[in-house]
Amino acid sequence: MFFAQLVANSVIAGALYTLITLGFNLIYGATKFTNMAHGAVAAMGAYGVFFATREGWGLPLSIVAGVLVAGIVGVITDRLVFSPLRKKKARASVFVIASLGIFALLQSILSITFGAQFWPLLPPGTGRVFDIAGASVTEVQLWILGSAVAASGILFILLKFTIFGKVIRALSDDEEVAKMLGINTDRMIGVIFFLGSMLAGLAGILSGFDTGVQPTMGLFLLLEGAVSSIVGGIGSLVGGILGAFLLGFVENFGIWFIASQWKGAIAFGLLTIFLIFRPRGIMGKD
Amino acid sequence: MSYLLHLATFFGIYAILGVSLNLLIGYTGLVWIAHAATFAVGAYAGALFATKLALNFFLAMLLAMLVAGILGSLTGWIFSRLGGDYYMLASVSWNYIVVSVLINWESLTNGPLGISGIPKPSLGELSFAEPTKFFLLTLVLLGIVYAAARFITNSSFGRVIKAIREDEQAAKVFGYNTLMYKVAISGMGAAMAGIAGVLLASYIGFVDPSSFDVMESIFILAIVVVGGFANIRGSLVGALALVLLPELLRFAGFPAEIAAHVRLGLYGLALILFMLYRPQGIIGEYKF
Amino acid sequence: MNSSSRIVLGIVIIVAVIAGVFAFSQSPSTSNNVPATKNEPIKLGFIGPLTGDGAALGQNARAATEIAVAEVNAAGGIKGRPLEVIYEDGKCTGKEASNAANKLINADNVPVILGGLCSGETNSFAAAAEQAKRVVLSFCSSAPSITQAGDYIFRDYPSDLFQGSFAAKYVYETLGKKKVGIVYVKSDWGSGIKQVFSEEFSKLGGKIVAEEGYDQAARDLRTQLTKIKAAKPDLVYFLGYTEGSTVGLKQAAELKLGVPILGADGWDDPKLFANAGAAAEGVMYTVVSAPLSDAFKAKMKEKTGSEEVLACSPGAYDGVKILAQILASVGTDSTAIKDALYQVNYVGGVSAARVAFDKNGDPVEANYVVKIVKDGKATEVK
Repeated sequence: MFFAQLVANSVIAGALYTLITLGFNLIYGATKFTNMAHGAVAAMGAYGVFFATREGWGLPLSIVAGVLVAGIVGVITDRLVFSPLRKKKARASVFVIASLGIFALLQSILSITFGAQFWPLLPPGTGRVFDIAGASVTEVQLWILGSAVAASGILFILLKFTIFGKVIRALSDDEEVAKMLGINTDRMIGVIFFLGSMLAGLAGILSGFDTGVQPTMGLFLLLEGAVSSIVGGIGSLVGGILGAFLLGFVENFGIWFIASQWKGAIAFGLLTIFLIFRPRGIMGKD
Repeated sequence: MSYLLHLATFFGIYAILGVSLNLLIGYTGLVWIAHAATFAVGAYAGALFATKLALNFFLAMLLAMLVAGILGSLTGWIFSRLGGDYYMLASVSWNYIVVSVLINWESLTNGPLGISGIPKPSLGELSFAEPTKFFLLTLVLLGIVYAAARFITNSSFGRVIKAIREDEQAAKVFGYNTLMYKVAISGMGAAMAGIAGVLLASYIGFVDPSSFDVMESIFILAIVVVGGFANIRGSLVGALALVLLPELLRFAGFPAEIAAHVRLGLYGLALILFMLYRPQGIIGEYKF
Repeated sequence: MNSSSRIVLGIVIIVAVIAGVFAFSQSPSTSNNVPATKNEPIKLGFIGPLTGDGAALGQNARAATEIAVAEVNAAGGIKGRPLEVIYEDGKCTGKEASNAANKLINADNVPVILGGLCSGETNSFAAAAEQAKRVVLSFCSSAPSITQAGDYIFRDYPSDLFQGSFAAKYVYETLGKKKVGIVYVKSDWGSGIKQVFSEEFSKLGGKIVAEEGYDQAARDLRTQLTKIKAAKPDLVYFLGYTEGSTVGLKQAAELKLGVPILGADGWDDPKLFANAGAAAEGVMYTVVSAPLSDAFKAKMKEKTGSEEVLACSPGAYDGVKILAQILASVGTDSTAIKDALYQVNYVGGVSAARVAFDKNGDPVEANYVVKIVKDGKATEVK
């Protein structure tokens, strides 16, 4: 039964990382830079729910509001910062440093507005606890798993079978060609930021439901998402999902064998190993 | 007035960090977001040599530079083969691993309790315990680091690393082993950051892992960004501006519980605005 | 000469002037004999986490300090001079606290620093304060290392050594549990108590079946708790701060740990029980026995708007009261204050029945009680 519990813990961690990494990869595919602000956008989503529930909104409405907040913040970062940088044809490093700046700014805005403390997002005792094959799993965790599956499915269908998806794929393959085909790439990237940031917001909200919210939560989410996406092959959605679950399992089973205080370091150990031996990740193209 | 001296000492320490990080980011194009980790390695190595082995400060400093330099070369060797984004993320993860090791390798680092009782520098009869003298020592070391960085960047070696920054493939075509150059500059930058670490450890007399997180790396990055890429003097200006900024906030009467967050927000805003409007920094020559 | 050279030259000149002034004024201000002006306030420093980890403790202690200062000033101040406290944010990290202490010592020239709150804060500036001959009175630092921190370094909060061994005896003798699993936060406080507890508990004949640490920032303790559960302990000793413990207790309940849980003074925070809800029902924790008076509780409620009197606040309040007495009798010379502190025998406070310091500046007595959580409220176990 401990084995079952570890599997359950790993799967749920993997599902949460999936949500983050999907948005991260979507944005990376279109813009070709590592958006360090992605985690802070996730935190914005979680705080959107925190604020809305405090104001007495119902849970479903609050979640919609939180997801939208994250999406809008993502678009704003693109419009105000990344889009002008694209027009200047700045180097990738400039994008990355600017995104680090956005990350710091958003985190400080959250701290100033809501305080630096940690708060649970759900009142205590919300949701049932299920016993699945000897493992205890909470209702929220099932929601995380369900959301990850649903988000992956919808995104997959969207990219594979719609015109919109073809446009995004054309953009990811070659921005110049996409431009020649008459696509307004700048506006498309804005839409992608909206989608990817909404996914991040959802991840932030669910993570907040599972444990709680804190302004610093974004960095952790971003790093786990970034590690998943590199391990899976950066820019590859399927790879990202594989990477997320691999990371979930390695983290949770890893500390079965070594002292658990190393949990934080395991993700980065895995990343370093991949960077050295297979930098293009599981599914990555050369 | 002695508070000014204290700030000036901090300025010296952060100027060393800024100059050494500029060698990596500004001159070689390696976006290293783990300078706090290198800083930590220097501080801990210095602290351990000075307390556990009771070595003289200057000997401890040389050894700490060696440790930081070797580790810096090693991470440079592993990570700098990776492309820009990967390198940057790898460096962030390296920062985490180092802090995690400092927290968890308790038999060596004393874990979260940190190491206290780190002695002040002395050379024979001459003690640098007094704040003025400590500051002068910091200034001398900053001068040495500054001169070394100028020498490195003006040498033929400096021209090669700048060529790597501009176009690594082209540098390879001209027959340069670019990896070795990146390893070398990573080692040198790390050794210099090691000096800053030892100075901090000795100045405060105490080190603990909490001072060296990713936020600290972002802070050091902001020094380089504000001062200007590929401009050694710029990093001095950046260090001065960013070390004084929190004091301005403090004296401007922001309540302490808000000031820390405002500070972080201003660093973030500075990174964004400089990237957007003045990527060469205040006095930088090079547009990144 | 271009503009960048001019800027650099400017900096060099400024720095050189500062250096010059100090190199030739070989009189470091190790003493603080400012001539006492009538009605000029007497300034003390305060260092604690006002943001970040431990900010709840820090803000609460600040409120207690403000209450004490207001009471002293309402009663006429110190021989007519008002008492004033300068609050600095140590952020529970060594570097920030050291920076803050340097400002308090050199810019504000305070004779006494109240704090730091976290042991890491106090440790970081103890040496500097000792060198500048300024008194440090920490109201919450519990790391054993502070005992030896220096002659000018005091605390009115007991060392972890006491709490760890008290808990070990309580678990083994009173509760009769022989197999314990420990979950602890990797911090000076958590690791410190864990170490003492393990040693004492093993000495008594008990067995530590599992020890799992977690990062202070970690908010998912499921794997640690799963590991603990697999080791089949009779009791779980859980050393955590409010944040990590809120999720930790919930997750322990979800994983159906099914054994009693004992915590330590970090849990003395009503926010924890409110946020953890049913998951916190029945847990116990050890805490310094603080004889909080109703008057003090009422004032805290008025000040902070909540019932919360957190673990560090009584010490801060008593600290101000003790210092006010001393300042009134010996003045603001820090060495005289230090000497007077060793003679203190303060009764009727809210942090302990009697506050007195031993030769190391530690409290001479440490009394703990065990509290148990029932219906979301902690009550003392008799």
